[in-house]
Amino acid sequence: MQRNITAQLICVHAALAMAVLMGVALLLAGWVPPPSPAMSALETAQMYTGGGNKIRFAALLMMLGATLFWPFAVAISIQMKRIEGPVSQPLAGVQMACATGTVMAIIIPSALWLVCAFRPERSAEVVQALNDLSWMFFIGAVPPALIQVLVVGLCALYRQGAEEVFPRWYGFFCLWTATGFVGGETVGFFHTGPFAWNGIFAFWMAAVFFFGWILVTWWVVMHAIRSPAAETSGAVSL
Amino acid sequence: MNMHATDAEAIAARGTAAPRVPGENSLWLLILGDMVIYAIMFLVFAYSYQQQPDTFAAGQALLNKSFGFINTLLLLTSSWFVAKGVRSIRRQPRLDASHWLLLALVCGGAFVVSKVVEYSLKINAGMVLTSNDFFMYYYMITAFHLIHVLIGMTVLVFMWRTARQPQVSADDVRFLESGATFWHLVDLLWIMIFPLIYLLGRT
Repeated sequence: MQRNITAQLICVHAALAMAVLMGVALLLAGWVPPPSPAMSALETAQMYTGGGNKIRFAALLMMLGATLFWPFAVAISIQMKRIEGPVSQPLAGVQMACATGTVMAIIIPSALWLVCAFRPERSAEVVQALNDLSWMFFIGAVPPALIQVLVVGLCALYRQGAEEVFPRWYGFFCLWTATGFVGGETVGFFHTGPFAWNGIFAFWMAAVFFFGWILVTWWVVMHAIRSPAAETSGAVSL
Repeated sequence: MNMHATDAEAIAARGTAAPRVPGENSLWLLILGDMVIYAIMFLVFAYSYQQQPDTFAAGQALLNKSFGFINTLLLLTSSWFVAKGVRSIRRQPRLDASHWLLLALVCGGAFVVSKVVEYSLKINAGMVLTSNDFFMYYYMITAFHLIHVLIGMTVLVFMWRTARQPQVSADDVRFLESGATFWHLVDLLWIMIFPLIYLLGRT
């Protein structure tokens, strides 16, 4: 049976390109950690006029990186379908659908950063509102990624024979990742402190778990694609 | 092992075998990982307490310690019920464990009700998430724990269903042990949270 190993490996390696592009974009814009939500409207507007081109390039890299999350999610779903069997693959479908939510939570703020930098003469209050909107998406739109990692963990843990594809520790790692994402849920409540969008729990912990999950999943899925067991099991249809 | 070996013999026999942790080994990644997240939260809380001792001491004085104490008793009791349940399952011949798990679930439910009442009283008295830094930590840390309680109760429901089966496989026992381990974590975390947020500090 045709397994398309090369195409699968291209999809899974997209994760590495995504991590690099997103990391470079954040550093280029000077957003590690993100700009403080406590900044005044004037300071926010000055950030975009001062760093206009850097922020524009960062937004472009961020969009490209986010888009590469889709092939990565396809590679994950193909392995989940091996676990779920040929008849129906609900968990693989949920994972794929939620991945789209995760991607949009990165592409939409990127577009908003481009808008903020697009007309430097715009009034500071409007820039501040758009900037708020971008970070509410980028840090605050946690649920799609949360459900995504939970459903991968669930698939690895409760299905019979899942060990052939995902090691059991990986299932528990996904559950742990989900707990690490929770800190980003409350960015709407705080302008300062650890739960604000530039704080230790909402930004630092969520970022470490997000990139950590991507790297660990990249490694696990790559091994699953290359494993000899992949020859005999798996879904017939995509 | 003899079908009719007593519990004591079974434990003695296990004592000579290879050392073993309850549940499955990989589960401890989640248990220890979760503890790391909480440890960071506790450190950040302690640091903030140092920064604003007056605000935190004033906030702490407004908490009702009875709720914290009752919740501690509820979780300790439920942990004991779960431990009794797992022991019943391990016995040869096996005893019915489901009623122990049901009792643990009732205690968990009582914890949730008590927490909701406590939150309501606080919110009605004007002490909310955004009041000050003390109440931010109070709500965030206890709500994060409450999510753990709800997840743990979901696991307990599945454990109860497993224990009600006429036959339990080795995999089922492993699942019951893993679920019990998670419930003990939920209990342990509360035992850390209660003194830290309700009791310790400037008197």
